[in-house]
Amino acid sequence: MDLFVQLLINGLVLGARYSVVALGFALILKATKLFHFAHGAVFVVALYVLYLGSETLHLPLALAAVLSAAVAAGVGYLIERGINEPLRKRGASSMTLVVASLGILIVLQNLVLLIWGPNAQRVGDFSFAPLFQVGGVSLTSIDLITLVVSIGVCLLALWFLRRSKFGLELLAVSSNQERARLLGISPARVYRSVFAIASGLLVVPALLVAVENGVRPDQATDTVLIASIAAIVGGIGSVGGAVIGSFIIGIAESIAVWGFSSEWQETIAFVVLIVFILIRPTGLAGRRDAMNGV
Amino acid sequence: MRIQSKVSRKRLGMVALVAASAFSLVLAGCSSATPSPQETHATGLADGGGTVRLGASLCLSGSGAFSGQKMQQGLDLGVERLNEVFKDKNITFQVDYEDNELNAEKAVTIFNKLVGEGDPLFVQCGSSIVVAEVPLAEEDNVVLLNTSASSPRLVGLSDQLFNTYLNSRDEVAAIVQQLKADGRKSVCIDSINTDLGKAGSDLLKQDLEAASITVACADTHDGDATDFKDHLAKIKSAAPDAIVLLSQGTSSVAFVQQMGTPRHRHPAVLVGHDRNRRDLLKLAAVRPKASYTAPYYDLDASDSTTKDYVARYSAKNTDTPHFFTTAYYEGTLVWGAIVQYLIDKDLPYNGDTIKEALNNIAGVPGVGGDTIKFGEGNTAARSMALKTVKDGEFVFVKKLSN
Repeated sequence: MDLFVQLLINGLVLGARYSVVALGFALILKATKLFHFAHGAVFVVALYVLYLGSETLHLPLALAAVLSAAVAAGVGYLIERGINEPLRKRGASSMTLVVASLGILIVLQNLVLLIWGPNAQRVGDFSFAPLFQVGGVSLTSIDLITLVVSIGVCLLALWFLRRSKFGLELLAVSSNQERARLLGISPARVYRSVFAIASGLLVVPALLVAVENGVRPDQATDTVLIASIAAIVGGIGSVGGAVIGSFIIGIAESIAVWGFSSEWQETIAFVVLIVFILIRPTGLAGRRDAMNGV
Repeated sequence: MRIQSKVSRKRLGMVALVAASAFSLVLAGCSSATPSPQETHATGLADGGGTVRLGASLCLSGSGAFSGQKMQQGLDLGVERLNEVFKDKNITFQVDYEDNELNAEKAVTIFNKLVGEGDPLFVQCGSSIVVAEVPLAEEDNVVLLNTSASSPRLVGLSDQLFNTYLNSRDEVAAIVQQLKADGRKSVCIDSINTDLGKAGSDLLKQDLEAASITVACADTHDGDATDFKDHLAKIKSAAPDAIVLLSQGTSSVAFVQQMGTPRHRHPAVLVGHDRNRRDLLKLAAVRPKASYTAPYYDLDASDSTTKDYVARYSAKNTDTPHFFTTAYYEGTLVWGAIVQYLIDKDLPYNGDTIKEALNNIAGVPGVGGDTIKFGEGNTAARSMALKTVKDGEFVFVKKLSN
């Protein structure tokens, strides 16, 4: 029983890690109807800037995190401003934008590989962080921080989306671009902002992953795959759904280890995806019309 | 619908065009003037020297890049020596490097390319790469010199394959002996899901059973896995006396790092397969109870081969050589012995004669005083070392077997 509870807690922590990446991915998807695969590469950029700041420049971790957030936001903004926007102006289809996004993912990932090499690098040493133990079940302080911070960021983002002026502008652009324009909202400005915000937010999972598992260039693809599955499971068009989807995947991946070999762990996310596609194609909170134009 | 069918026709046309291009390329390849391995050096090597080539299909990028670069370092160092030694005989040693990214599919393409260019002898990285190359080597009469892959499956796999490296068959036997000597009663195994991990794990289970040691749990992981929380939770729940990790690369680094954290620490001894990585030491934050098996290269040995190797390495580097650097350097020692045999017998350099040489060479002095001699299953029995970690450095404990 202890093992089951431990795996359940591990799953919650894993889901929390996925949640902020999926949140950003879903925000971009909601606003622009684009499966932004390069989001995974921006995550890796955030990881390595964090590593650069903390381990090479020897900045305090908080300052390295600020630097990482700024660079990630900048990269996200540049992707939208320098690549997606010109493509849209030339009438590129959504498929063209997806292929361009895949191209950016590959280029950025290889650039990181070229600069920092393929080996795992470590940020700080938190191996001996305080541990909370109840019976046979344990939770490290990093796990606790991951849960609290990730859930906090997601709730704050959802609140911001519903209550702030920018959030309402994003919803307006998402539901009807032409009508939003008539209201004086510039979709281009909203797109740029949402790319910058979603990318900047990546510093949260980047920090949590870096101190726990270290940084590696090949984390880009895994990250964006999980984020896109979470967005589909949660329901395309629903940012909150993507967050819930992340937790479902995280818990499913961990609990699966109870009965299966751990090598199947990554496959579980896809099993969850297939189950949802078969049983509830619109996802948990998605609407059928949200699929239009994606 | 009409648009769709137009698109389909267009796509069909595209496929036909690609197929036609591929076919013409194949035809061009067939009529190429490049010599086959059998055609290279039709006359004996003693007659007038020439260039002898070695195909090196290494993992120079991707998850195995760290090892691949060390392998290349060893080959470069060894070739430099060979070109000095055989200069008088007008023989030049040339290594044709290709990057297989530790991908068996890519390795097959590379193999065909290098065979087409006339390479009759190959070195490579990774057990799965060797396994993928064996049928091709048999078909093309190419000899595979395995200087790093350690899967038990490689022992006696083919007449074309010669293993110079410490095989996991011997490593597993030594690990079990050690566990028994330490009085361990139950073990959890965590292995990488490659040929090395799977075959090694099966063998380990058999040997443990024979030694009356219980396998409390067994799990497998991907080569790029970095989160072992769930594995370690399972292990903790099974409460074994020891953990045996059969893994390599970044995943073993992550495992060692995480198993040492307060959350997972328990009175277990880790006997790891991945050895001597300085980045592992740095990342693992040093677990005093962990022990590692490693190929045994005594760099303080007084024989001339070891002294020469250490001097050559030290002239270019300030650190201690990585075991893969040493293993591939040893590969060039065997290559040199093959060429010397062919010169002595005035034989040409091709698959048949290389195989003949390897079957007849009595033994090649290796690094650390060991002799590389191909025994059962074309596999050299190698010594191994048990090491532990102290103050951020690997410390030799004892020699396990030879």
